[in-house]
Amino acid sequence: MQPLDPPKPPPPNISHPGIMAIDITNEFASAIKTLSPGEIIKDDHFALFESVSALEIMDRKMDSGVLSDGESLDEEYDVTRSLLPEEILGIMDQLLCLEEEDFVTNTYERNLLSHLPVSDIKDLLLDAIAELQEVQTAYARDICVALGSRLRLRIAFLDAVDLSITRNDTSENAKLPWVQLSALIIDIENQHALGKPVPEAFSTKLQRRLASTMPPRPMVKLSFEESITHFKRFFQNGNEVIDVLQYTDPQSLLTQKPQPLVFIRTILQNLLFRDMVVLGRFSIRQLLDHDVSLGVLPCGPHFDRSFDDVEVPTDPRNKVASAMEVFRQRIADVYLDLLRMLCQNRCRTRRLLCHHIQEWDMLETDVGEIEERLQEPLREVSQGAYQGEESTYHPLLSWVYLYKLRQMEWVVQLGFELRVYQPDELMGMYYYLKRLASLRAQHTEQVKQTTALREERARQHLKLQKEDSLPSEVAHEFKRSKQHLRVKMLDAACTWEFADGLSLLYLALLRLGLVKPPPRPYGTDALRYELRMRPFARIAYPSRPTYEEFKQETELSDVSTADVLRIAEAAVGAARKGFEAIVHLNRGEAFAINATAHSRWVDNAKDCLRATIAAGVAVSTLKRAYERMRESLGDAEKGKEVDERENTNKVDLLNLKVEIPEPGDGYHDWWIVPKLTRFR
Amino acid sequence: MQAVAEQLGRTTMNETETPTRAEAETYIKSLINKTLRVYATDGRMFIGTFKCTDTDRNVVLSLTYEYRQPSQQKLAEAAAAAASSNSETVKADMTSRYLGLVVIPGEHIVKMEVEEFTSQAATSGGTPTSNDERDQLESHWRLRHFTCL
Repeated sequence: MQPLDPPKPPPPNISHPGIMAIDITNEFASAIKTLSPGEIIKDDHFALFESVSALEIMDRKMDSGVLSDGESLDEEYDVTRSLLPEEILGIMDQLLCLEEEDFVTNTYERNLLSHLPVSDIKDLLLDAIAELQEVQTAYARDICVALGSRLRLRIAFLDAVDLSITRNDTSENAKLPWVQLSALIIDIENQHALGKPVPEAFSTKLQRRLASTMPPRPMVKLSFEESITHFKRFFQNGNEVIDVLQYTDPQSLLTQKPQPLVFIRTILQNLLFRDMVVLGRFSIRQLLDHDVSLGVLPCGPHFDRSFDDVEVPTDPRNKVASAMEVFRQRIADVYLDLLRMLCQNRCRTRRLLCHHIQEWDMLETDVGEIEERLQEPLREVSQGAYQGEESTYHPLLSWVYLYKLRQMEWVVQLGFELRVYQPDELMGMYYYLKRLASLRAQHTEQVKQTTALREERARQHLKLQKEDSLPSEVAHEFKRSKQHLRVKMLDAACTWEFADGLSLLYLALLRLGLVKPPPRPYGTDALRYELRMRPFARIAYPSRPTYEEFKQETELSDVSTADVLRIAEAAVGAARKGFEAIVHLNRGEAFAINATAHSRWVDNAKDCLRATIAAGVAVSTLKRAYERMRESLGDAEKGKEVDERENTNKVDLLNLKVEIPEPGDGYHDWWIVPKLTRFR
Repeated sequence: MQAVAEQLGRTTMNETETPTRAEAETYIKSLINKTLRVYATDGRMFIGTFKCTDTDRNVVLSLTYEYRQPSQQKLAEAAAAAASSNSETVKADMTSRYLGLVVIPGEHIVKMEVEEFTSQAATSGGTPTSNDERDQLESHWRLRHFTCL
């Protein structure tokens, strides 16, 4: 690990004979007096915002070096003094809190005692445990046990973070230290009361000498209970992250939704990507080929490894192999970057995705050219083993396009999760999400149909009868691909329907004045649209709608509010059915690496399902209130569309209150469902 | 005189008269990126590269080291060590710590110094601290040769 900070300059030699110090106190002070109020003189290369990070001298909150009047610098605490066993316990627990504080505040990449081999440290800890056992009779047994737990925790931790062992180990062994840690931390929690705190061992003066952070800052105090809670979560996440090693399909990597502490995400990244080898065992080529074939091209001739051995450049097999190599080289970085991005925190993931979708957009042009080059040699090799590959089908391009669409959806969905959009913008953003998801669903449907055709052609090629089955390997590849397409199709369709339903619900709420735009004296709708669509502005296809189109398609001025609500009800109902189906997919169908990942996946789908139920309630509540209002308006206006915007007094008749849940309060972060309640 | 001062990149100013606005600015700018020693009210000294100042004499230094006089305890230890080795001088190091980028609020500044090479400063005719005074200062700070008792 590299230190984050630039190396310290050597300390100045203040008594160097060639250097003298000239007193400028008075000159400086009188020069300053001539400056106009608020004026600053600075080095041209020094950005003022940098000074925000400067340590303010004499400010006790930042400057740990301030001495009170008459306070001596010397530390009165004698580290060599004898301690009671209870006191040692107290000190160890306090240290534990300090260590945890490092993880909470993200102070990483500071290896302690880096010049000592880890094995030596472990030996020392083991010696201490052995000594402890020898003296066990002399001291209270429970205290000795408690001390032992703390020493063992350290050994287990060192084992757990030793990734060099972990990466190539797919057995349960890799999890062992994390499991031990989880058990030990519970023991430590229970034993904590036995200890006796020694606050003088952690005085500010002592910390001043430690200078573990730059700039040196006073210690952040974390209570023991808080630390234990953090540690429990930390160890649990650590345990789960090891599951990534049980890679079976590329999609299982994407179903991880890691939002644990940064340290764990860093471990995850390391497990995944160190040395451009994914997961320690899989080469990038395997991963990419696997993803492409699963997504769009099961049993494609593109991946035939025997083609690699053909050295004659004019041979079509050589051409296929070399074009595929160009393809892999072109996509490897952006593809792995995508996996890496998903390991970041959510804000950063979204920001990175905004840039990343441009990359994928550019990829389409290049991949299109590569695929064009592949057509001819593919046709030639198909005359034998791979008859009838259709030249109108562009699987590689489809693969890129589907990934791009999905990332564009993520940008919008993370926008909901991070509350980027105001309540009155939700209608428009759900509309845009629906637009993207519908394109993805349509394209996935095409891939699905082509895959079915390709499977049928494979059967014809092998001259199979109706009841005969394909060779098991081929059959398996087609089966997995079809399962995968089904999941993707469900996902896209649910997103499409639910986004449509919510967009229409917000449209009705806006029309009825139940959601109102906040006063924006300096903003216009068109400018705001420009801003929200900025991440997508440079995407060639799908191009974003113009503001006029967008306005027309979201406001649906020729559709009555009653119809808007009716369509919303149908859309939300369809989404609900879709999520019900997703909830029931088993582990294999869901492409989850293990039981934990699968249960998370199911939980996520259940949250979506709950959100659709809540949305259904909201729509029908509004629908009923709206019908009641129209009835109460009497015969004169019956049958006429109520122009709510001009009749705000009539809107009062709705007698409804709308609440938009805060982040984390709703059923699912991506689906902001308003809560409608009747006034009494 | 002026030429030498320019060569040094440090404008001299007459202390007794109030400098003009332009003079003052040139003067402060000439100090930018020089090594300053800033003494704070609590007895600490900060040595770093001068980056920025404002009308309240708040000073931003980069790559800063904090220096502190040795404590009484350390001095006593050093004196004892000197006595046992029959040495005439007592050596005790100032304690120092790297702080990086700091801002020292003007209200806490008691004294400021700029570091110059002795060879150049001797001919500059600026306002170098007089020799006596400097010796005094050095005996104050150069604790490597701190004479005690």
